[in-house]
Amino acid sequence: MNELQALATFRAAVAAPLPAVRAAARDKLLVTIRGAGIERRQRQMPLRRLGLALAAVAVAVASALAIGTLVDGAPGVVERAQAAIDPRGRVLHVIARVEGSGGAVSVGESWVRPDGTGRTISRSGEPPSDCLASPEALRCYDPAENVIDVYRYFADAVEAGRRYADLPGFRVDQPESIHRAFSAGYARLVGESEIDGKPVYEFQLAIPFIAEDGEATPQFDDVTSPALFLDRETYYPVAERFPDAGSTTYYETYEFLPNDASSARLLELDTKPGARVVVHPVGEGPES
Amino acid sequence: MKEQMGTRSPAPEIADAAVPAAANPDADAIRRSQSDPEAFVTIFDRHFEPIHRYLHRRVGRDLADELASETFAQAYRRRSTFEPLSESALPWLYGIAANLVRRHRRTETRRLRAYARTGVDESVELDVPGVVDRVDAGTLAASLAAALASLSADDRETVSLIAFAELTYGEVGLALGIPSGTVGSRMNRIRSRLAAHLPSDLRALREETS
Repeated sequence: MNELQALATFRAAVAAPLPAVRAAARDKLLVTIRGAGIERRQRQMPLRRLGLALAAVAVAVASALAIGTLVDGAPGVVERAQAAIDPRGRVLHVIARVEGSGGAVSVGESWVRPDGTGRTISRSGEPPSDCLASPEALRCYDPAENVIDVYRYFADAVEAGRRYADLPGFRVDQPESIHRAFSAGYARLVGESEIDGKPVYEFQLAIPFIAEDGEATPQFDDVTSPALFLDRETYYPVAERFPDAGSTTYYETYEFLPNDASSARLLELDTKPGARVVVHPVGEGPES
Repeated sequence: MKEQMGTRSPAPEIADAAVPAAANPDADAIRRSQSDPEAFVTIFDRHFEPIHRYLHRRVGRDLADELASETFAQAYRRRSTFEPLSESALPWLYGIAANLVRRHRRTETRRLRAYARTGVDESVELDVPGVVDRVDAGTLAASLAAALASLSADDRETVSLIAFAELTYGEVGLALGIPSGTVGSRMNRIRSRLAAHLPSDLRALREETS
Protein backbone atom coordinates (compact mmCIF):
# COMPACT_ATOMS: atom_id res chain seq x y z
CA MET A 1 0.00 0.00 0.00
CA ASN A 2 1.39 3.37 -0.90
CA GLU A 3 0.49 6.70 0.64
CA LEU A 4 -2.20 7.47 -1.93
CA GLN A 5 -3.84 4.10 -1.49
CA ALA A 6 -3.80 4.69 2.24
CA LEU A 7 -5.31 8.12 1.78
CA ALA A 8 -8.03 6.66 -0.41
CA THR A 9 -9.22 4.75 2.66
CA PHE A 10 -9.53 7.90 4.71
CA ARG A 11 -13.19 8.38 5.60
CA ALA A 12 -14.01 6.05 2.74
CA ALA A 13 -17.10 4.71 4.43
CA VAL A 14 -19.06 7.91 4.57
CA ALA A 15 -22.75 7.40 4.17
CA ALA A 16 -24.79 8.54 1.21
CA PRO A 17 -26.65 11.82 1.64
CA LEU A 18 -29.96 11.46 3.38
CA PRO A 19 -32.95 11.53 1.03
CA ALA A 20 -34.25 14.62 2.78
CA VAL A 21 -30.93 16.38 2.23
CA ARG A 22 -30.94 15.46 -1.41
CA ALA A 23 -34.53 16.62 -1.82
CA ALA A 24 -33.80 19.91 -0.08
CA ALA A 25 -30.76 20.50 -2.28
CA ARG A 26 -32.78 19.74 -5.40
CA ASP A 27 -35.49 22.14 -4.28
CA LYS A 28 -32.88 24.81 -3.65
CA LEU A 29 -31.51 24.32 -7.14
CA LEU A 30 -34.99 24.65 -8.63
CA VAL A 31 -35.56 27.85 -6.65
CA THR A 32 -32.25 29.14 -7.99
CA ILE A 33 -33.20 28.21 -11.52
CA ARG A 34 -36.66 29.67 -11.36
CA GLY A 35 -35.51 32.78 -9.55
CA ALA A 36 -32.69 33.43 -11.92
CA GLY A 37 -34.72 34.21 -14.97
CA ILE A 38 -33.20 37.63 -14.83
CA GLU A 39 -29.69 36.57 -15.53
CA ARG A 40 -27.36 38.32 -17.83
CA ARG A 41 -28.79 38.49 -21.28
CA GLN A 42 -25.76 37.01 -22.88
CA ARG A 43 -26.03 33.98 -20.66
CA GLN A 44 -29.36 33.20 -22.21
CA MET A 45 -27.67 32.64 -25.53
CA PRO A 46 -27.47 28.97 -26.47
CA LEU A 47 -24.41 29.71 -28.57
CA ARG A 48 -22.10 30.76 -25.82
CA ARG A 49 -18.81 30.89 -27.57
CA LEU A 50 -20.21 32.59 -30.61
CA GLY A 51 -21.18 35.41 -28.34
CA LEU A 52 -18.13 35.22 -26.12
CA ALA A 53 -16.37 38.28 -27.36
CA LEU A 54 -19.52 40.33 -27.38
CA ALA A 55 -20.45 39.10 -23.95
CA ALA A 56 -17.02 39.90 -22.63
CA VAL A 57 -17.29 43.37 -24.02
CA ALA A 58 -20.75 43.87 -22.62
CA VAL A 59 -19.72 42.75 -19.18
CA ALA A 60 -16.54 44.74 -19.22
CA VAL A 61 -18.18 47.92 -20.35
CA ALA A 62 -21.03 47.61 -17.96
CA SER A 63 -18.73 46.57 -15.18
CA ALA A 64 -16.50 49.51 -15.76
CA LEU A 65 -19.46 51.83 -15.86
CA ALA A 66 -20.86 50.23 -12.78
CA ILE A 67 -17.95 51.28 -10.65
CA GLY A 68 -20.05 52.65 -7.89
CA THR A 69 -19.88 55.78 -5.89
CA LEU A 70 -19.12 53.51 -2.98
CA VAL A 71 -15.55 53.14 -4.20
CA ASP A 72 -13.54 54.17 -1.20
CA GLY A 73 -10.40 56.21 -1.36
CA ALA A 74 -10.51 56.84 -5.08
CA PRO A 75 -11.96 60.30 -5.55
CA GLY A 76 -12.40 61.09 -9.20
CA VAL A 77 -11.70 57.57 -10.43
CA VAL A 78 -15.37 56.78 -10.88
CA GLU A 79 -16.12 60.02 -12.65
CA ARG A 80 -13.14 59.71 -14.96
CA ALA A 81 -13.99 56.10 -15.80
CA GLN A 82 -17.58 57.03 -16.52
CA ALA A 83 -16.50 59.85 -18.80
CA ALA A 84 -13.94 57.72 -20.61
CA ILE A 85 -16.23 54.78 -21.24
CA ASP A 86 -19.41 56.65 -22.07
CA PRO A 87 -20.03 55.65 -25.72
CA ARG A 88 -21.85 58.91 -26.49
CA GLY A 89 -23.48 57.30 -29.50
CA ARG A 90 -20.27 55.81 -30.82
CA VAL A 91 -19.50 52.22 -31.78
CA LEU A 92 -17.33 50.30 -29.38
CA HIS A 93 -14.61 48.22 -31.03
CA VAL A 94 -12.84 45.59 -28.96
CA ILE A 95 -10.39 42.83 -29.60
CA ALA A 96 -10.39 40.51 -26.64
CA ARG A 97 -8.12 37.57 -25.92
CA VAL A 98 -9.52 35.02 -23.48
CA GLU A 99 -7.10 32.73 -21.69
CA GLY A 100 -8.97 29.77 -20.27
CA SER A 101 -8.12 27.77 -17.21
CA GLY A 102 -6.68 24.92 -19.23
CA GLY A 103 -4.40 27.19 -21.23
CA ALA A 104 -6.79 27.45 -24.17
CA VAL A 105 -6.75 30.84 -25.84
CA SER A 106 -9.52 32.30 -27.93
CA VAL A 107 -9.67 35.66 -29.61
CA GLY A 108 -12.76 37.62 -30.46
CA GLU A 109 -13.38 40.93 -32.14
CA SER A 110 -16.55 42.89 -31.62
CA TRP A 111 -18.26 46.06 -32.70
CA VAL A 112 -21.05 47.09 -30.37
CA ARG A 113 -23.66 49.78 -30.86
CA PRO A 114 -24.79 51.83 -27.89
CA ASP A 115 -27.99 49.78 -27.80
CA GLY A 116 -25.96 46.63 -27.12
CA THR A 117 -26.45 44.96 -30.49
CA GLY A 118 -23.45 44.28 -32.65
CA ARG A 119 -21.21 41.95 -34.52
CA THR A 120 -18.73 39.49 -33.10
CA ILE A 121 -16.11 37.39 -34.80
CA SER A 122 -14.69 34.50 -32.83
CA ARG A 123 -11.32 33.37 -34.12
CA SER A 124 -11.02 30.38 -31.81
CA GLY A 125 -12.23 27.98 -34.47
CA GLU A 126 -11.58 27.47 -38.17
CA PRO A 127 -13.20 29.06 -40.01
CA PRO A 128 -13.88 31.95 -37.65
CA SER A 129 -17.51 32.44 -36.69
CA ASP A 130 -18.99 35.72 -37.79
CA CYS A 131 -22.28 36.63 -36.13
CA LEU A 132 -24.63 39.49 -35.48
CA ALA A 133 -26.11 39.47 -32.00
CA SER A 134 -29.42 40.92 -30.95
CA PRO A 135 -31.69 40.22 -27.97
CA GLU A 136 -33.90 37.96 -30.05
CA ALA A 137 -31.52 36.04 -32.27
CA LEU A 138 -28.04 35.34 -33.52
CA ARG A 139 -27.32 35.58 -37.23
CA CYS A 140 -24.20 33.74 -38.31
CA TYR A 141 -22.63 33.55 -41.72
CA ASP A 142 -21.40 30.24 -43.05
CA PRO A 143 -19.04 31.06 -45.94
CA ALA A 144 -18.71 27.44 -47.05
CA GLU A 145 -22.43 27.16 -47.73
CA ASN A 146 -22.96 30.88 -48.35
CA VAL A 147 -25.78 30.76 -45.83
CA ILE A 148 -26.84 33.08 -43.06
CA ASP A 149 -28.18 30.96 -40.22
CA VAL A 150 -30.69 32.68 -37.96
CA TYR A 151 -30.86 31.11 -34.51
CA ARG A 152 -33.77 32.44 -32.51
CA TYR A 153 -33.95 32.33 -28.74
CA PHE A 154 -36.85 31.02 -26.73
CA ALA A 155 -39.33 33.71 -25.79
CA ASP A 156 -38.66 33.22 -22.09
CA ALA A 157 -34.96 33.81 -22.67
CA VAL A 158 -35.73 37.02 -24.53
CA GLU A 159 -38.09 38.05 -21.78
CA ALA A 160 -35.48 37.20 -19.17
CA GLY A 161 -33.07 39.47 -21.00
CA ARG A 162 -35.56 42.30 -20.80
CA ARG A 163 -36.13 41.73 -17.11
CA TYR A 164 -32.42 41.64 -16.66
CA ALA A 165 -32.29 45.23 -17.83
CA ASP A 166 -33.70 46.19 -14.46
CA LEU A 167 -30.71 44.77 -12.62
CA PRO A 168 -27.82 47.01 -11.72
CA GLY A 169 -24.93 46.96 -14.15
CA PHE A 170 -24.09 44.49 -16.90
CA ARG A 171 -26.12 46.27 -19.55
CA VAL A 172 -24.59 48.53 -22.09
CA ASP A 173 -27.65 49.40 -24.10
CA GLN A 174 -29.59 51.26 -21.46
CA PRO A 175 -27.46 53.94 -19.85
CA GLU A 176 -30.08 54.69 -17.24
CA SER A 177 -29.90 51.12 -15.96
CA ILE A 178 -26.16 51.47 -15.67
CA HIS A 179 -26.51 54.71 -13.80
CA ARG A 180 -28.82 52.94 -11.38
CA ALA A 181 -25.96 50.57 -10.72
CA PHE A 182 -23.62 53.39 -9.77
CA SER A 183 -25.30 53.90 -6.46
CA ALA A 184 -25.86 50.20 -5.81
CA GLY A 185 -22.30 49.33 -4.85
CA TYR A 186 -21.55 46.67 -7.43
CA ALA A 187 -17.82 47.40 -7.51
CA ARG A 188 -15.13 48.18 -5.03
CA LEU A 189 -11.60 49.35 -5.50
CA VAL A 190 -9.05 46.75 -4.46
CA GLY A 191 -5.93 48.72 -5.26
CA GLU A 192 -3.44 49.61 -7.92
CA SER A 193 -1.36 47.06 -9.78
CA GLU A 194 0.11 46.32 -13.20
CA ILE A 195 -1.01 44.18 -16.11
CA ASP A 196 1.76 43.48 -18.62
CA GLY A 197 3.64 46.46 -17.25
CA LYS A 198 0.69 48.79 -17.61
CA PRO A 199 -0.45 50.59 -14.43
CA VAL A 200 -4.05 49.71 -13.63
CA TYR A 201 -6.74 50.17 -11.04
CA GLU A 202 -8.06 46.86 -9.82
CA PHE A 203 -11.70 46.52 -8.88
CA GLN A 204 -13.67 43.63 -7.52
CA LEU A 205 -17.10 43.33 -9.09
CA ALA A 206 -20.20 42.04 -7.40
CA ILE A 207 -22.39 39.29 -8.74
CA PRO A 208 -26.11 40.04 -8.44
CA PHE A 209 -27.53 37.61 -5.91
CA ILE A 210 -31.16 36.96 -6.73
CA ALA A 211 -33.29 36.28 -3.69
CA GLU A 212 -36.40 34.14 -3.86
CA ASP A 213 -38.50 37.29 -4.06
CA GLY A 214 -36.50 38.36 -7.11
CA GLU A 215 -34.63 41.15 -5.37
CA ALA A 216 -31.01 41.51 -6.43
CA THR A 217 -28.25 42.45 -4.05
CA PRO A 218 -24.51 42.75 -4.74
CA GLN A 219 -22.48 39.79 -3.62
CA PHE A 220 -18.72 39.98 -3.33
CA ASP A 221 -16.51 37.01 -2.66
CA ASP A 222 -13.11 35.82 -3.70
CA VAL A 223 -14.50 32.84 -5.56
CA THR A 224 -17.10 34.32 -7.86
CA SER A 225 -16.41 38.05 -8.04
CA PRO A 226 -14.56 39.02 -11.22
CA ALA A 227 -11.66 41.41 -11.01
CA LEU A 228 -11.65 44.31 -13.45
CA PHE A 229 -8.47 46.18 -14.34
CA LEU A 230 -8.72 49.70 -15.72
CA ASP A 231 -5.86 51.56 -17.34
CA ARG A 232 -4.79 54.30 -14.93
CA GLU A 233 -4.33 56.76 -17.78
CA THR A 234 -7.20 56.08 -20.15
CA TYR A 235 -9.60 54.37 -17.70
CA TYR A 236 -10.36 51.83 -20.40
CA PRO A 237 -10.57 48.14 -19.44
CA VAL A 238 -7.26 46.32 -19.72
CA ALA A 239 -8.30 42.93 -18.40
CA GLU A 240 -10.94 41.09 -16.47
CA ARG A 241 -10.28 37.98 -14.43
CA PHE A 242 -12.94 35.43 -13.58
CA PRO A 243 -11.65 33.47 -10.59
CA ASP A 244 -14.37 30.84 -10.64
CA ALA A 245 -13.72 29.98 -14.26
CA GLY A 246 -9.99 30.47 -13.94
CA SER A 247 -10.01 32.58 -17.08
CA THR A 248 -8.81 36.06 -17.87
CA THR A 249 -9.92 38.30 -20.69
CA TYR A 250 -7.36 40.76 -22.00
CA TYR A 251 -8.60 43.72 -23.99
CA GLU A 252 -5.97 44.18 -26.64
CA THR A 253 -7.95 46.86 -28.44
CA TYR A 254 -10.58 48.99 -26.79
CA GLU A 255 -11.68 52.05 -28.71
CA PHE A 256 -14.72 54.01 -29.81
CA LEU A 257 -15.40 54.52 -33.49
CA PRO A 258 -17.58 57.23 -34.96
CA ASN A 259 -21.11 56.12 -35.71
CA ASP A 260 -20.72 56.72 -39.43
CA ALA A 261 -20.98 54.80 -42.68
CA SER A 262 -17.60 53.12 -42.32
CA SER A 263 -18.51 51.79 -38.88
CA ALA A 264 -21.90 50.72 -40.15
CA ARG A 265 -20.15 48.48 -42.67
CA LEU A 266 -18.23 46.84 -39.84
CA LEU A 267 -21.52 46.05 -38.17
CA GLU A 268 -22.73 43.93 -41.07
CA LEU A 269 -21.86 40.37 -42.00
CA ASP A 270 -19.30 40.11 -44.75
CA THR A 271 -21.24 37.83 -47.06
CA LYS A 272 -20.78 36.73 -50.64
CA PRO A 273 -23.42 37.68 -53.17
CA GLY A 274 -26.49 35.48 -53.20
CA ALA A 275 -26.25 34.31 -49.59
CA ARG A 276 -29.33 32.36 -48.49
CA VAL A 277 -31.01 33.04 -45.17
CA VAL A 278 -32.02 29.95 -43.17
CA VAL A 279 -34.26 30.70 -40.23
CA HIS A 280 -34.13 27.86 -37.73
CA PRO A 281 -36.91 26.90 -35.34
CA VAL A 282 -36.97 28.81 -32.09
CA GLY A 283 -34.52 27.45 -29.57
CA GLU A 284 -32.58 25.46 -32.11
CA GLY A 285 -28.83 25.52 -31.87
CA PRO A 286 -26.30 24.59 -34.48
CA GLU A 287 -25.43 21.04 -35.37
CA SER A 288 -22.72 19.52 -33.32
CA MET B 1 -25.14 14.46 -33.86
CA LYS B 2 -27.55 17.28 -33.55
CA GLU B 3 -28.01 19.57 -30.65
CA GLN B 4 -31.37 20.07 -29.05
CA MET B 5 -33.45 20.24 -32.21
CA GLY B 6 -30.84 19.75 -34.85
CA THR B 7 -29.52 22.06 -37.53
CA ARG B 8 -26.91 22.15 -40.17
CA SER B 9 -23.73 24.10 -39.57
CA PRO B 10 -20.98 23.18 -37.13
CA ALA B 11 -20.94 24.96 -33.82
CA PRO B 12 -17.65 26.64 -33.02
CA GLU B 13 -18.09 26.01 -29.30
CA ILE B 14 -18.35 22.32 -30.02
CA ALA B 15 -15.71 22.29 -32.72
CA ASP B 16 -13.26 23.59 -30.11
CA ALA B 17 -14.12 21.01 -27.54
CA ALA B 18 -11.84 18.10 -26.84
CA VAL B 19 -14.78 15.76 -26.30
CA PRO B 20 -17.60 15.65 -28.83
CA ALA B 21 -21.10 16.22 -27.55
CA ALA B 22 -22.03 12.68 -28.51
CA ALA B 23 -19.76 11.45 -25.74
CA ASN B 24 -20.70 14.19 -23.40
CA PRO B 25 -24.28 14.11 -22.16
CA ASP B 26 -23.38 16.51 -19.35
CA ALA B 27 -22.23 19.12 -21.82
CA ASP B 28 -25.40 18.56 -23.77
CA ALA B 29 -27.56 19.09 -20.67
CA ILE B 30 -25.67 22.22 -19.70
CA ARG B 31 -25.94 23.61 -23.19
CA ARG B 32 -29.66 22.87 -23.27
CA SER B 33 -30.02 24.61 -19.92
CA GLN B 34 -29.09 27.89 -21.60
CA SER B 35 -32.48 27.90 -23.24
CA ASP B 36 -34.28 25.41 -20.99
CA PRO B 37 -32.91 26.17 -17.51
CA GLU B 38 -34.49 23.18 -15.82
CA ALA B 39 -32.44 20.87 -18.02
CA PHE B 40 -29.71 21.61 -15.50
CA VAL B 41 -31.49 19.46 -12.92
CA THR B 42 -30.17 16.47 -14.88
CA ILE B 43 -26.68 17.46 -13.77
CA PHE B 44 -27.84 17.46 -10.17
CA ASP B 45 -29.50 14.08 -10.51
CA ARG B 46 -26.36 12.56 -11.99
CA HIS B 47 -23.77 14.01 -9.70
CA PHE B 48 -25.17 15.08 -6.36
CA GLU B 49 -24.13 11.94 -4.56
CA PRO B 50 -20.43 11.89 -5.50
CA ILE B 51 -20.13 15.61 -4.79
CA HIS B 52 -21.78 15.17 -1.40
CA ARG B 53 -19.59 12.20 -0.64
CA TYR B 54 -16.44 14.14 -1.51
CA LEU B 55 -17.50 17.04 0.69
CA HIS B 56 -18.52 14.69 3.47
CA ARG B 57 -15.03 13.21 3.49
CA ARG B 58 -13.47 16.63 3.64
CA VAL B 59 -15.63 18.62 6.02
CA GLY B 60 -18.16 16.31 7.62
CA ARG B 61 -21.77 15.58 7.00
CA ASP B 62 -23.40 18.78 8.26
CA LEU B 63 -21.24 21.09 6.25
CA ALA B 64 -21.36 18.73 3.28
CA ASP B 65 -25.15 19.00 3.25
CA GLU B 66 -24.86 22.75 2.94
CA LEU B 67 -21.94 22.90 0.54
CA ALA B 68 -23.20 20.19 -1.80
CA SER B 69 -26.41 22.11 -2.23
CA GLU B 70 -24.51 25.35 -2.80
CA THR B 71 -22.21 23.63 -5.30
CA PHE B 72 -25.09 22.96 -7.66
CA ALA B 73 -26.65 26.39 -7.15
CA GLN B 74 -23.31 27.96 -8.04
CA ALA B 75 -22.79 25.58 -10.91
CA TYR B 76 -26.11 26.61 -12.35
CA ARG B 77 -25.26 30.28 -12.05
CA ARG B 78 -21.88 29.70 -13.67
CA ARG B 79 -22.95 27.21 -16.29
CA SER B 80 -21.94 29.54 -19.10
CA THR B 81 -18.33 29.08 -17.95
CA PHE B 82 -18.48 25.31 -18.35
CA GLU B 83 -16.01 24.00 -20.91
CA PRO B 84 -16.86 20.53 -22.26
CA LEU B 85 -13.28 19.34 -22.04
CA SER B 86 -14.06 16.18 -20.10
CA GLU B 87 -16.56 13.40 -20.63
CA SER B 88 -18.26 14.39 -17.41
CA ALA B 89 -19.11 17.62 -15.65
CA LEU B 90 -17.78 16.09 -12.45
CA PRO B 91 -14.31 17.69 -12.58
CA TRP B 92 -15.95 21.07 -13.04
CA LEU B 93 -18.35 20.39 -10.17
CA TYR B 94 -15.52 19.16 -7.96
CA GLY B 95 -13.69 22.39 -8.70
CA ILE B 96 -16.66 24.43 -7.51
CA ALA B 97 -17.04 22.23 -4.43
CA ALA B 98 -13.33 22.52 -3.66
CA ASN B 99 -13.57 26.29 -3.89
CA LEU B 100 -16.43 26.25 -1.41
CA VAL B 101 -14.40 24.11 0.97
CA ARG B 102 -11.69 26.75 0.88
CA ARG B 103 -13.97 29.06 2.82
CA HIS B 104 -14.02 26.47 5.56
CA ARG B 105 -10.38 25.44 5.50
CA ARG B 106 -9.82 26.54 9.08
CA THR B 107 -12.65 24.33 10.22
CA GLU B 108 -11.31 21.46 8.16
CA THR B 109 -7.79 21.88 9.54
CA ARG B 110 -9.01 22.18 13.11
CA ARG B 111 -11.04 18.99 12.83
CA LEU B 112 -8.21 17.09 11.19
CA ARG B 113 -5.83 18.14 13.94
CA ALA B 114 -8.32 17.15 16.59
CA TYR B 115 -8.75 13.81 14.89
CA ALA B 116 -5.01 13.28 14.72
CA ARG B 117 -4.65 14.19 18.38
CA THR B 118 -7.57 12.27 19.84
CA GLY B 119 -8.23 9.53 17.31
CA VAL B 120 -11.86 10.55 17.36
CA ASP B 121 -13.28 11.84 14.11
CA GLU B 122 -15.87 14.46 14.93
CA SER B 123 -16.75 14.83 11.25
CA VAL B 124 -17.66 11.38 10.04
CA GLU B 125 -17.67 7.70 10.78
CA LEU B 126 -14.63 5.80 9.67
CA ASP B 127 -13.98 2.46 8.15
CA VAL B 128 -10.76 1.36 6.60
CA PRO B 129 -11.34 -2.12 5.25
CA GLY B 130 -8.43 -4.05 3.93
CA VAL B 131 -5.63 -2.50 5.86
CA VAL B 132 -6.38 -3.66 9.37
CA ASP B 133 -4.33 -6.82 9.00
CA ARG B 134 -1.10 -4.88 8.66
CA VAL B 135 -1.79 -1.54 10.16
CA ASP B 136 -4.00 -0.49 12.98
CA ALA B 137 -6.86 1.34 11.30
CA GLY B 138 -7.22 3.99 13.93
CA THR B 139 -3.54 4.75 13.87
CA LEU B 140 -3.51 4.98 10.13
CA ALA B 141 -6.54 7.27 10.00
CA ALA B 142 -5.17 9.52 12.69
CA SER B 143 -1.84 9.64 10.89
CA LEU B 144 -3.53 10.51 7.66
CA ALA B 145 -5.53 13.21 9.40
CA ALA B 146 -2.28 14.65 10.70
CA ALA B 147 -0.77 14.47 7.25
CA LEU B 148 -3.73 16.18 5.66
CA ALA B 149 -3.75 18.87 8.34
CA SER B 150 -0.11 19.59 7.63
CA LEU B 151 -0.74 20.33 3.96
CA SER B 152 -1.45 23.74 2.54
CA ALA B 153 -4.98 24.44 1.32
CA ASP B 154 -3.84 24.05 -2.30
CA ASP B 155 -2.10 20.75 -1.63
CA ARG B 156 -4.98 19.34 0.40
CA GLU B 157 -7.39 20.30 -2.34
CA THR B 158 -5.23 18.62 -4.96
CA VAL B 159 -4.64 15.37 -3.15
CA SER B 160 -8.22 15.04 -1.99
CA LEU B 161 -9.45 15.33 -5.57
CA ILE B 162 -7.13 12.49 -6.51
CA ALA B 163 -7.60 10.26 -3.49
CA PHE B 164 -11.24 10.96 -2.63
CA ALA B 165 -12.73 11.89 -5.99
CA GLU B 166 -10.42 9.64 -8.03
CA LEU B 167 -9.74 12.29 -10.63
CA THR B 168 -6.79 12.04 -12.98
CA TYR B 169 -4.11 14.72 -12.99
CA GLY B 170 -5.70 16.20 -16.09
CA GLU B 171 -9.12 16.29 -14.48
CA VAL B 172 -7.71 17.88 -11.34
CA GLY B 173 -6.14 20.48 -13.59
CA LEU B 174 -9.53 21.13 -15.14
CA ALA B 175 -11.17 21.30 -11.73
CA LEU B 176 -8.67 23.72 -10.24
CA GLY B 177 -7.80 25.63 -13.36
CA ILE B 178 -4.12 24.70 -13.30
CA PRO B 179 -1.95 22.81 -15.79
CA SER B 180 -1.80 19.06 -15.31
CA GLY B 181 1.98 19.38 -15.06
CA THR B 182 1.52 21.55 -12.01
CA VAL B 183 -0.73 18.89 -10.54
CA GLY B 184 2.00 16.32 -11.13
CA SER B 185 4.75 18.35 -9.50
CA ARG B 186 2.43 19.23 -6.64
CA MET B 187 1.65 15.55 -6.15
CA ASN B 188 5.31 14.59 -6.01
CA ARG B 189 5.76 16.98 -3.12
CA ILE B 190 2.54 15.93 -1.43
CA ARG B 191 3.32 12.23 -1.64
CA SER B 192 6.65 12.72 0.07
CA ARG B 193 4.95 14.62 2.81
CA LEU B 194 2.21 12.04 3.21
CA ALA B 195 4.72 9.22 3.27
CA ALA B 196 6.52 10.88 6.14
CA HIS B 197 3.32 10.71 8.18
CA LEU B 198 2.55 7.07 7.56
CA PRO B 199 2.88 4.64 10.45
CA SER B 200 6.23 2.91 10.39
CA ASP B 201 4.88 -0.55 9.51
CA LEU B 202 2.96 0.90 6.57
CA ARG B 203 6.09 2.71 5.48
CA ALA B 204 7.91 -0.58 5.62
CA LEU B 205 5.21 -2.19 3.51
CA ARG B 206 5.48 0.67 1.05
CA GLU B 207 9.22 0.17 0.75
CA GLU B 208 8.72 -3.54 0.22
CA THR B 209 6.25 -3.00 -2.58
CA SER B 210 7.94 -0.07 -4.28
